[in-house]
Formats: sequence, C-alpha cells, structure tokens
Amino acid sequence: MEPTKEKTFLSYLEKHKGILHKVARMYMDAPEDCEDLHQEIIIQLWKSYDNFKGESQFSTWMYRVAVNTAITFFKKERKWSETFSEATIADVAYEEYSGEKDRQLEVFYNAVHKLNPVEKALIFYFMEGLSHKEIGQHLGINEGNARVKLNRTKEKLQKIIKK
Amino acid sequence: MNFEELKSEWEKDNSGNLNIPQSIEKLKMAQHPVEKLKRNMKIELYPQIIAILALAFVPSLANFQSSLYSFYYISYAMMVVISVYYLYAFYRFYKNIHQYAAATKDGLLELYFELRLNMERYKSFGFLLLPFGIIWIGLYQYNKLLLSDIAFETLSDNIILIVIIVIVIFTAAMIIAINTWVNSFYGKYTKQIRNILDELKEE
Repeated sequence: MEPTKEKTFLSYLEKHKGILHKVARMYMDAPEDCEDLHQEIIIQLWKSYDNFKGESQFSTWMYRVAVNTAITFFKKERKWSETFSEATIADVAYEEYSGEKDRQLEVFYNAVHKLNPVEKALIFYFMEGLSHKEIGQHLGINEGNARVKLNRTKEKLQKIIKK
Repeated sequence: MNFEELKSEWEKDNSGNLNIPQSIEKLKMAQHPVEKLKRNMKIELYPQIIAILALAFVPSLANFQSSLYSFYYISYAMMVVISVYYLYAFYRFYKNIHQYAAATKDGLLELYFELRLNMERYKSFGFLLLPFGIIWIGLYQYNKLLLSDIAFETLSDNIILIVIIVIVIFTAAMIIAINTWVNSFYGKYTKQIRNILDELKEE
C-alpha cells in the first residue's frame, strides 16, 4: 500500500466527511447502522479510489460511490427487542447532539427514513444543490424523469411531515 | 416545510461526531451484501477444488476393477474440464462485480444481471454434475457386483426398476435442493435490487 496515496485519500475524506455523515443519516436511523454504513462507504471509496482520475471533483465522485453503496447496503433485519432499544438510544443520541436549533433537520431526517432508497438519493442530491440534470446523471436517468421523481418525492416528504 | 430554509440547516450539518480513521487498516471487515457474497464464494472455492482433486483417488480407494478405470477417468476428465470452466466464470464474477462509481441505474442493472447470470451458472453447474455423480455411484455399485462375482445380467427386473425410481427421486431432490440453495443465497438480494431498478424506471 502506498502511504502517500492513503494519506491523500484520507485527507480528501476528512474534507468531505459531511457527505458521509449525511448519506448515513439519511439511509440509517440507528447509530450502530450509521457507523456501519460510514465504514462501508469508506471501504468502497478506497477500493474504487484507483478509478478516481481527478477529472471530476472528489466530492462529485464521492456522491456516487456513497449513494450507490448506501442504496445497496440493505439494513439487516433486527429482532423487535433490538429495534426497540436501538430506536430509543437513537432518539436520545440525536437529541443530545442536535439540541433545539436542529429540530427542523431532525424532523426532516425522520421523515426521510420513510422514503425508499431511490427517493432518499433524490432528496440527498437536491439538498446538496444539484440540478435536475446532474441528479439524472448521477442516478442514470434522464433530466425530465429526475424532475418528475424529485417533485413527487418532495410532495411525499411534505405529506409524511404533516402527518 | 420550507426546503430552502432547510438547506441552510443542512449545510451546517457537517459531520456530527464522525471520525475518519487514521489508516485504512483500522477499518472493520466490509459488511456490504456484495462483499459478503464474495467472501462466501471465496470460502466455497477451496472445498470445491479439494473435492475435485480428491475424486481422482476414488478408483484406487474403492478398489475399482482395472476394467472400470478407463470409464471413471474419462468421465472424471470431462468433469474437470466443466468445473474449470465454471470456476473460472465464478472467479470473473468475483473480480468484476459491482462498480460503485458508475451511475446508479447502470451499476445496478449490471449488478442485477450479473447476479442473475451467476444464479443460473450455479444451477447449471449443479445440474451438470448430477449425471457424473450418478455414473460414479453406478460404477461403484457395479464394481461391488464384480467383486462379489455377480453378473449385472442376473439382476431381476424389480431391482432395475427400483434403481431407476431411486435415480429419478434423487435427481428431482437434487434439482429442488440446488434451486432452494441458490435462491436462499442470492434470491433476497436480487429481489431487493430489482425493486430499486423498478423505482428508477422512466415515467
């Protein structure tokens, strides 16, 4: 393993760790699952790092690998007791971490957890400020389809929040 | 909910308590379903190779009559060629599966079809090995008859009929077992990917 390559990779990662954090929070609710997904994304980023040619920004490349990993990282099924205790822990952990000012964001993340994996990806890219065209390129669908799906997902999200 | 207001909160939500590891070695073993699948394939490969090599010694271990050696080794050679072909195909699947940096739909389509193809490969490999298994069991039994000085022609029609029925039941049971095993190994994950692909369909 080349130490310089690894060092450069880790410094990129440190700079863009917000992407890791947000993708994991969107796709997983329990802290343990979030941590597992962080690790998984880092592993896949590292394995794919040789394909990163620097033609695009690191963040653009990282979006794809992170979202593609999260979409196919199906959460393991848990027993009822496990789900119950972890959900309780998760609520407490996020409460302590975020406080009142992030309340809106917390409501948002909770609503996002009710979306399917593709809808989560659409909302993630939208929140990151990507255009319909860019969202379509990342997901491998056309611009019009990305627009229709995103609008539908935003409506769905509003409905979930209002419930 | 106002998405524009939310975006400013989103931008501030940078990393929580996330710590990036100091080195890649400190990461745990990958838990992604594809990585688990690859690990299982790697674990399976060694017993498969050992089994193929061990089968070469069956005639001497089972005291086969010299007249049966040629029958056994002709079928064994065919089985080795078929196994090498399939094991190489599994190796290629193992090496190339899932490009995470591709556009989501393209990557998933490739993954889905690769998984489906590998499922069918596993099944056809299992089905192809079945006749060899039956031939070898037959040779083993025939060898026992030869050692006991019993001529095959002296076996009654009823015994022949029972053998045929046993072979049919054994073959059917193996087909069901192979299908069940492959579906339990890949089925759930392939179905989940299919569902995501359906979500990405054009509207």
